[in-house]
Parts: sequence; C-alpha cells; structure tokens
Amino acid sequence: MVKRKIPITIVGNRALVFDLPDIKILREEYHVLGVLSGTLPVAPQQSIFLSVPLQLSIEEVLYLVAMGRAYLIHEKQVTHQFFETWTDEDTEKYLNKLWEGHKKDIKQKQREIFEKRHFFLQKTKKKQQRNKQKTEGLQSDIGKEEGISNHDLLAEESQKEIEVDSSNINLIFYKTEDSSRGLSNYDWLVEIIQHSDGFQRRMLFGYIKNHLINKYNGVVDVSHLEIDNLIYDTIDNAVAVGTAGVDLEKLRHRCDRLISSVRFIQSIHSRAETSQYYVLPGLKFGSKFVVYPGDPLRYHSHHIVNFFNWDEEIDLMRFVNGGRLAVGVKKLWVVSGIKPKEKIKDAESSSNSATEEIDGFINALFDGNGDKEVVNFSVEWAGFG
Amino acid sequence: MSKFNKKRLLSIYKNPLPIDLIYDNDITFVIPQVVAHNPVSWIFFASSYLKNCLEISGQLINNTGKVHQSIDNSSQKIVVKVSDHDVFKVEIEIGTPESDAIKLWKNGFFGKGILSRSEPTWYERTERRLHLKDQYSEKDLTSEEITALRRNERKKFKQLRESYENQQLELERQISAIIDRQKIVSTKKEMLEMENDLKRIQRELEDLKLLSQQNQDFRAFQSSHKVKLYEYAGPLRPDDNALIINDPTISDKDKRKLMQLEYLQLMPVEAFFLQLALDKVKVFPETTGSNELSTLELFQRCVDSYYSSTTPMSRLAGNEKFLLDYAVYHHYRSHGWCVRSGVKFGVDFLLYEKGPPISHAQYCLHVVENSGKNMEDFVEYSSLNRVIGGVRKTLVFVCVDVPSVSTFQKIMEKIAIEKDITEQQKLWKKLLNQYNITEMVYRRWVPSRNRD
Amino acid sequence: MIDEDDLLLEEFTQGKSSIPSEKNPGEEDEDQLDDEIQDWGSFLKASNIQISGLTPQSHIVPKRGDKGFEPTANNYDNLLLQNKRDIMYATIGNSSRGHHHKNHVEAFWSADASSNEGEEQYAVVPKPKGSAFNSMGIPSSQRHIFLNFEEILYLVERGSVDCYLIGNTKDASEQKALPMNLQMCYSAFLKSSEDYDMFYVYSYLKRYGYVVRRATEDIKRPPTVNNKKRGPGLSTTFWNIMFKKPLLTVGSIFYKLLGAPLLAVLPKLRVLLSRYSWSTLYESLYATSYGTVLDYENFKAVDTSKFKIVYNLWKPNNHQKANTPPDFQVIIVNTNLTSLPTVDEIKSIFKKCYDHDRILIAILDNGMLNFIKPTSSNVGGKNAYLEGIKKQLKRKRNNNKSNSNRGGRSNKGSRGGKGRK
Repeated sequence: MVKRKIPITIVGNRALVFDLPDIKILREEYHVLGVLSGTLPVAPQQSIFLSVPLQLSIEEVLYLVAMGRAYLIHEKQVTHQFFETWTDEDTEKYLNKLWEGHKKDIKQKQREIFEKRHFFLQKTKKKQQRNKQKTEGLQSDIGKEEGISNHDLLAEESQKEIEVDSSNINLIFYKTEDSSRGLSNYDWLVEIIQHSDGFQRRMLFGYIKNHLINKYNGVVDVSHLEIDNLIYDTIDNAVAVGTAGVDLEKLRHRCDRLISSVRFIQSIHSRAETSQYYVLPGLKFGSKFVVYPGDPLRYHSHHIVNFFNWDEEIDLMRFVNGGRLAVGVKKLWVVSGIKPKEKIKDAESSSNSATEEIDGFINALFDGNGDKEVVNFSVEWAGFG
Repeated sequence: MSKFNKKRLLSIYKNPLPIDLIYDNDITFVIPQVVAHNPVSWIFFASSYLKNCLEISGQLINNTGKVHQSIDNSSQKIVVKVSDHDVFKVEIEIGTPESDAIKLWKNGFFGKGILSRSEPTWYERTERRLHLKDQYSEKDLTSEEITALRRNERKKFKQLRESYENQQLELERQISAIIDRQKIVSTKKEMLEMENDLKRIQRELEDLKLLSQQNQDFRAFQSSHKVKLYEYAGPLRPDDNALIINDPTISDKDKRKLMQLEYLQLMPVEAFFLQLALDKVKVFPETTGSNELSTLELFQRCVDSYYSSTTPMSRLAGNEKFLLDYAVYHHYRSHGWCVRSGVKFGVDFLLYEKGPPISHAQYCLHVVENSGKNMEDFVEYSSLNRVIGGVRKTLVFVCVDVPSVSTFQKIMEKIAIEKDITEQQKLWKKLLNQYNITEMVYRRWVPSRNRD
Repeated sequence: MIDEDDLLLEEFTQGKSSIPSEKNPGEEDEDQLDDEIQDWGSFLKASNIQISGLTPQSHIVPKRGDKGFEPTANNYDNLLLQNKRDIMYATIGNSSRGHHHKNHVEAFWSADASSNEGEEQYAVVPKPKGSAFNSMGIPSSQRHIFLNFEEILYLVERGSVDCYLIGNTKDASEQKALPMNLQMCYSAFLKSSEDYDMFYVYSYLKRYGYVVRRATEDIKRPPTVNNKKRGPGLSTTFWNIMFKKPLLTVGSIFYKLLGAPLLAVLPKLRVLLSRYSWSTLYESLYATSYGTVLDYENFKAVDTSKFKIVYNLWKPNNHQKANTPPDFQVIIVNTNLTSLPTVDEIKSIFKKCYDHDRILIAILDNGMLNFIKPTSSNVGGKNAYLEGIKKQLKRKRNNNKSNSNRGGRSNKGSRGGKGRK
C-alpha cells in the first residue's frame, strides 16, 4: 500500500478525514483508527455503525503530524478559493460527468435486469434439456451449443441499451461524493498547502490553541478565539488576542497532559514489540486510552491507560477504581507519564505568554527523541483472602 | 438467600445502633382520626394521645440541645485505642460470649476486622485451617471461605477451558500451514487433497468450538466437580505454630488455644460518631499515657488522620476532608442508614438499608465540597460510573456546603472553652447544623430505550 | 455471614456484568463492559442489507470469526482480519449517499452570506418533497423551507438532499452554482466547535427517530396543580380544633413547666424517656441540614450560560400538534470545554426550565456521546430504619387482615428470595 501524507480537514476545530482510501492507510499503515461519525446511508436509523467522515482526536492528529504522516487543511479557505475559481465550464463538465455516470448506471441496471431474465431462461432451458437427455441420452454437445447461443443473445441485447430511454430517467442517481479529491482545482490547491510550511505551522498553532484555550475551561476569559482569526491574520496579531487573561499555570498543565499522550503513542509505535499495537480513546472504560495488540476488529484490548504529570499527586481512590475496572474487563490498568529532562528546564521553563507556551509545545512535539522519556507502570489488583 | 435465612439474619441484626433501648417498641406515629360519632375511635385516640405525649416530652427534653446522653458513664462504654498512626482499634476478646467489638459489629456494622473482609472472622477461620476445631458444616463457613472455595472451582474450570483453546490454536496452525502449501503446489490431485484436508480441519474446529461452548456453563461444572477446603492436615508451618499458645494449664477442651491477632478497626468518622452522638466509647491513645481523649481532642486526632502532619486548631478552615466526611456520615447514620467505607468501590461511603449480610448496598456516596470549582474530570466520573453500575448500585454525589471560616472558628473556640458537657453538646450540634448536604444523581439515558 | 457486596464484587471481578445485555447487534447496548468494537458482518446479516461489490466469503474463511487474544504469526489469522476489514470498507465505500430522480430535492447555500458574524445562516429548499420536512425547517410564505445548518447537513449526509453553493461571480454579473460534496458541506455549514457539537447531537438523535428542534425560547412551566387530598371531614376538624390541639398544647406546656425541671433532676428518668424508642433516639441525633437538587423553588439562581438548553426533543410519535410540550430538553456539554455542572448550576437550570424531569445533558468526548439525566434519589431525606419498620408493620397488619378474612394460610408477600445462599 502506498504510504503517503494524509490530508486532515479542520472543521469547527475538529480533525476529519473524508476519503476512504486515506482511512484505509491510516488504519493499516499508521495504526490510527479514529471514530467514524457520519450517517451510514444504507442503515440511517442507528448510530453504532457509522460512515465517513472519520473523526480524529487531537492526540492522533499531533502524532501523525509530528511523524510527518499527515498535513492539515483549513477546508473553509480551500473551498472559498476553489469556489472563486470555479467557472461555468467547470459546471458543464461536472454535470456531464454526472450524466455519464448516470448513463453508466442505467446501463448497469439494464444489464442486471437482463442477466436475471437470462439466468431464469437458462435454468428453464437446462431443465428441458435434462428431460430430453433422459429420453435421448445426449450430453456434451448441447452444452457447447448453448454457450454460443447465449453469447449471441447478450450481444443483441447490449446493442439495444445504448440509446438512453427517457423513461429510464428515474434510474438516475444523484450522488453526493464524500470528498473533493479528484476535482481538478482542488487537488492543486491542496498540493500547495501541503508543502507550505508556514501555513502548516499556523494551522497547527491555531488548532492546538483552540483546543487548549477556550471559553469555559477556565484557562482564559476571552470569548472569541476562532481559528479563522489566525488564518487571515499573522501570528503576531494572534499573540495580542491570546494573552489577555490567560492562566499560564493551567495552560502548562494541559500542555503537559497533551504531550504525555502524544509521546505515549509515539513510543508504542516506535518499539518493535509494540509496533503492531493500536491506541484508541478510552472514554468508555473511564480512561484516556485503550491499547489493542492488533486491529480492534479482531482482537481484545489488554491495557487501559491514564496519564499523570510527573509530580502530580494521584488520589489512592483512583488506583482502587482503576484496578477494579481493569480487572472487571480483564485488562491491565496502566499509569503513564513523561520523565522531565534535567535541571536545564528551570532556566527556560517560564514562558511569558500563551503564544510562547504553545510555540514551545509545538517545538517539543517535533523533537525526535521525545518518546524516550515515556515511563509506564501497570497496576494490578493483588487482593487477599 | 432463602426466606428463612433472611428472617434469621434480620433478627440477629435487629438493632441499627449499639444503644440499649429501655422500651424497645416499634410504634407507629399516626394519631388516628377521631370520628365524632364513633365512641370507639375516642378510646383509640386517647391511648395513642397518651403514648405520643410521652414521646413528645422525650423529644422536648432532647431538643433542649443535647445530642444524646447515656445513663451511666463508666461501665457500658467500649474501649477504643488509637495508635500513633491514627488507627482506631477495638480489641476482640476470645472466650467472652459477645465481646465489645462484636457488639459494635452486630449493632450497626461498625468497623472492620483487619484480617477479614468485613466481619472479624480470622480466629474462627484459622482454628478451622489449623484443624484445632472439630467437624464443621458448610453453612458455618464464612464469606472468606466460600469465596476461596469458589475460586478453587473457577481455577479448575479455567484449566479445562485453556486446554480447549490450545487445541483450537493447534488446528488453526494446521490450516495456515495448508494454505501456505497450497500456494506452491500445482497438480490437481494435490489441490484436491488439500481442499479435503482443509474442510476436515474446518469441521473439527467447528466441533471443538461447539464442545467448548457446551462447557461454558460454570454452574453445571460446579455441580459435577466438588472441591474441598482445608484438605492438608500435615505438620504445621513454624509461622502457624507460633500462633498456638502452648499453656500446659489449659485443658484440651478449652477454646483459648490460638492467639488473637485480629482487632476491629474503626474509621475516624465512626469513632467520632460513637463518642459524640452515642457516647458509647472512650478513646485512649495506645502509647502515651492513659488519659481518655476528650471529644475535642478526639476531633483533632480525627482531622489529623487524613494528613501526615498536625494542623493546629486555629488554622482549620472547616472544609477539611474529615469534616465533610463526618457531616455526611452523621447525616446518614442519624437517618437510619448503615454507613460503611466505600474504598472497595473507590467511593467514600456505601449505604445499606439493613446491613451487608442482608442485602447489598443500594447507594454509593461520593462526597465533594460544593465550592465554585467545577465537578471533576469527566474521565474520572465515567470510570466511577462504570464500576458502580457494574455492581448494581446508584452513584450519589453528596455536595456539602461548608460554613465560612470565621463562623467555623467562632464555634470551635466556644467549644474549646466550654466545660459543661450539655452546653458543649449543643455547640457541636450547632456546628453540624452549619453543614448543608445536597444530593444529586446522574442517571444514564439511552435514546433507543426511551422512544416509546 | 455472607457479605452480599463481596459476592457482587467477586462477580464483577470475574468479568460478569450483572446487567443483562441484549444480544441484538443493531441495538445499542451501553452496558457492555467488554469491547464494543462492532461486528459489521453480523450487523449486515441481522439488518438484511445487501452490499454490492462485497465478494462472497471464500470457503477458506469460516463463517463465524471470533475475536483472538493477540495476533499470531500465521496467515489464517491475517485472512480473518482482512475479511473483517473488507466487510467494513465495502459497506462504507458502496453505501452511496444519494437519492433517485423521483425523490430529488435541491437545496442552496449562499457563499456570500458566510462572512456575517453572529448571524444565523440558513439553507433554502425551494421545492421540498417528502415527509422529512414535516418536522424540520422553517416554512416561508412561498412554500420554500429554510433549514438550520444542522438540519441541512444531516439531510445531505443521509443522502436525501442535493446541496449547491451559490454566489455571485467577482463582477456580480452571473451567479454560479457549485455542487457540494460532503467535505464542502461540513466546512461551509460548521463554523465553530459548538456548531460541530450541535450537529453531532442533532444527527445522533434524528437517527433514533426523535423530532429535534432548536429551543429558541424558554417554555413556560405550567402552573402547579394543587393536589387536593381528601381532608378530614367537618366533624373531625371541629374536634381537632376544639379539643386535640389545646390538649396537646396544654400537655406540652405542662411538661415544659413541671415535667422538664422534674426530669432534669432525675437523669435516669430523663434517659428513660429519651430511650423510649428508636424514633426518639433518631430525633435526638438530627443535626445536619439537607436538600436535593429538586429543592429549587426558593433557590437563588446562579449563572448558567454555559449550560443552555439547545434542543427540544419529541418522541417519534409524539409531535402531532404544534404545541405539545417537548418530551425532553437537551443541554450539550463538551468535556474539553467544561466539566459537569455543579449542584447550584443544576438547581438554577431546573428553576427556569419547563420540567426538571425532562432535562438531558449530552456529553461529548472525542466522538463518543453519552446522555445523562440529573435527578435526585432523596436518600437522606427520610429515615431508612423507621421507614423499614413502618413497612414491616404494614405488612403484618395486612397479613393479619387477610388471615382473619380468609381464615386460611396467609399469603405473605415475598420480598426476600434472591435465590442466593
């Protein structure tokens, strides 16, 4: 399978993937599963089996970007530019393509009907032959003869359907494609975005900032921090907006937690013994992640993972709870964190603004040796009596 | 459990608190309506009126502010020792028909045996294990022993299942080997052979799966394979030998052959409740001197037990964990619930309507302070919910409103200088009154089940 | 003595969830403690769905694919896995979003209007067709329908509607119409994180058949109906006023004046009376004050702007009339933005909502959606022991009655047997 960079669309500060081939690569090559979140047209009245788009968590996105396996698209801007350059000619072409597609569909439909009829005819003919056989005792020659006559029949029929019958218009299917891939201008625009480092960096900054700092989580009081501001402004302007009333302590805490989770995923995939593992969000199990030894479609998970900062106090009750939960579902409860580097940190640890903090975070993200710091402990319930 | 069993249990564990009532009568509190033209109802009315007068006067007396007071100060109080590490211990005496510790257990399920799961049964079990006791029947077995039995059974069951799985793996390996060979082979005859082999192994696999499924029923397995406890009856280990008291003056028939290693441990909230509210215990520090702790001193001890260092009284803010826990504990105990530690499930308390042997706890209490700070992390909540839901209980958030620091300190100061016991009791009650408890429950809502 | 909780714990530890699970792959079972990774094969089979392009399973692969413990290094394992993957890919890939010509409905979204901050933008459907539009959208005088962003995106994702992006060319001379695919729709319709959350919840509930509409204004709570119990008759009331109350008051004054001092002197007598029964004892212990989230009448509300009611929900068959009150009201909480509401916030929400029993909180966390209902169980409001005694007495009384009535064996209500030793 081709290993290529996957485009991740940012919409409403969510990371989405719309193309099925991309989803396959993510799953099979990069071991990133995400969550399917769109209605499945074939079964639209349930919510367990869903379809495209695939939603990725921020940890998965940061992991992919840090490993150079994905890039971000600000879909709104791309669509905007795409729309600007869309001409009437393009509309003509598109409609013709649909119509061609429709014609193909009609052909297909007619063929199916023909084949069904044909098959039925075959069956009855065969029966008749067999009855004849019993009385006359001939065999193989008949089969050959049938073969020829079938072929002729088919050729005859297929001649008929080339003229599209207007009464067949009801067979036209108006299809909504999943993604814009394949639309000429679009692909070209996205190529540019992929290779523009400045743009990628700005997008990453905005995406992370909107995740860490928002209206209600107590990190900042400012109420309008939309990613749009960052795309059309420079980063300097964003600084001015972003530092007002930011609780740096809280921000740091959130950054630490976030990087722990990303490092964890990196460490899992970088080691040979665990390279086949899959890491999924674990909310259903009351934890951050759940780790599978192989594709979750086929295997049960073995570990439930929670993250803590290196010097954070962990309430004993959480151990009790985690241990119980894990044992109840036959898994191990794991506590993971990042061991801080040596004392150099004190000198540069204090960043003065939210922007510096996030910039620092992004730099750390791309630091190749990051996953060496990850430390994991498993907790097993021993019990007595 | 059977009806008969339940009735028996209910009569053993009749009392919700370790208080001896003078006149233990279960009365109803409804004054019957008087129908003017019915003279019989007048009589009913008069008799229950008298009853209720007595009751009211009793309430009146107690409502002058005292939380409670016992008849006699010295003889009936149970001795509790507190260690340097703030562990509250009640000794379990052997030989007496019902030791103090057992009294505390049987009347309200206070405390926990430190070498048992809840009720102190270590002595009994060890006697059986070391074969110091004669024959025993299955229904005498304690909870711990029954669990051990079940675990042994389960182990055997798992071994059987594992052997099935190994066979299955072997067959799968064979299939994979055939598939590999199929790629190299070309003659039609060999292909056919492999097809047949494949089908055969496939069938075997299906059969094996069927067989292992039939053996999934643990109950059926249980009834067909009987497992025993305490089968080994050889010489004792040195550790076990050290437990036996070899006193030549004691005859064989005497029960006091084994040392008692177990004691009943009380939670700080339990110890404080027994002293403050019921006046049923007197607490002594284990090591330093023999002076009984006053209520205030006990309070200090309890607050400190949650931390590794001592906080002077004047620095307390009123929202320390012990205070929140005690307010909740006191509330539910005084409302007739049996309140026990919830550590088993990662919560603060468990509520039982009648007690652990009779039914499982209906509610789990999670105590939080009702401050402006938001409720916890959703991940923590979700994980708690999973565990609690899996054991059929309801998770109740108990949010405690605390008094302001100044109010708290003022009352504490008054308590410190108040010498009269009655007045002090009033002040404690006043302090507790400052704590307001609000309950909240989050129930799961499933869209597919709520459509109709 | 068996500790019931220990038994439950033991069961739980063995991995047996005590909540019965329904083995229908199509229906959602929240209570499964085990992995809920879906089995697409059995789902397709159970729902009788044919997917074109799904190759029939090779006879090499068995019909029932179990879950393995961990990957083994053999090809058989890989085949099973690939098979499962293929089913999933085929289902997603070949389940086309769209509709046939006779159901064709077009919608239009304006590219120009998207620059207005704060203003709600709508999609226009000039010629609506089909029953879906009965319960969504805002009708106009000319039979057009205006749809909210979550409504149009839901319909497009489902394949029911074909949407076009329209706008003027640079010189505003011609209009162009760009057919929108799903990716474009998402980007055009969802502007912020909150929009996404709103859409996700909307879509989820619509799939289950609920009627979901924006809660644009507060719905007034109906006036509380006074439950008039049948009070005592006239004669008894007379009796109570004339005799019972004065008697009690006199009695209490008497005891206060004479009895109390007397009893103060004789401590044994006092304790005698206080130890009269469990009820008097418990009465003497009450000290803390208590409330539940349902005590919101006199509560001073706090700010609840984080927890706005976003949607009104009606059960599938319940939205016949335009004015039926909603069956539920939904508040959306994104765990990345906020945590659960505090008790004070819940009380404030209850105070101004239509019915506190109909409030739902939709909790979104990384693509997982759960619903919870804040309520109270009023556990600490009554005395459990005394209530238990009352029940026992009632039962005894009923048994005695039935005994005397029938004269035969009494039919004791059985509440005991759980079938456990």
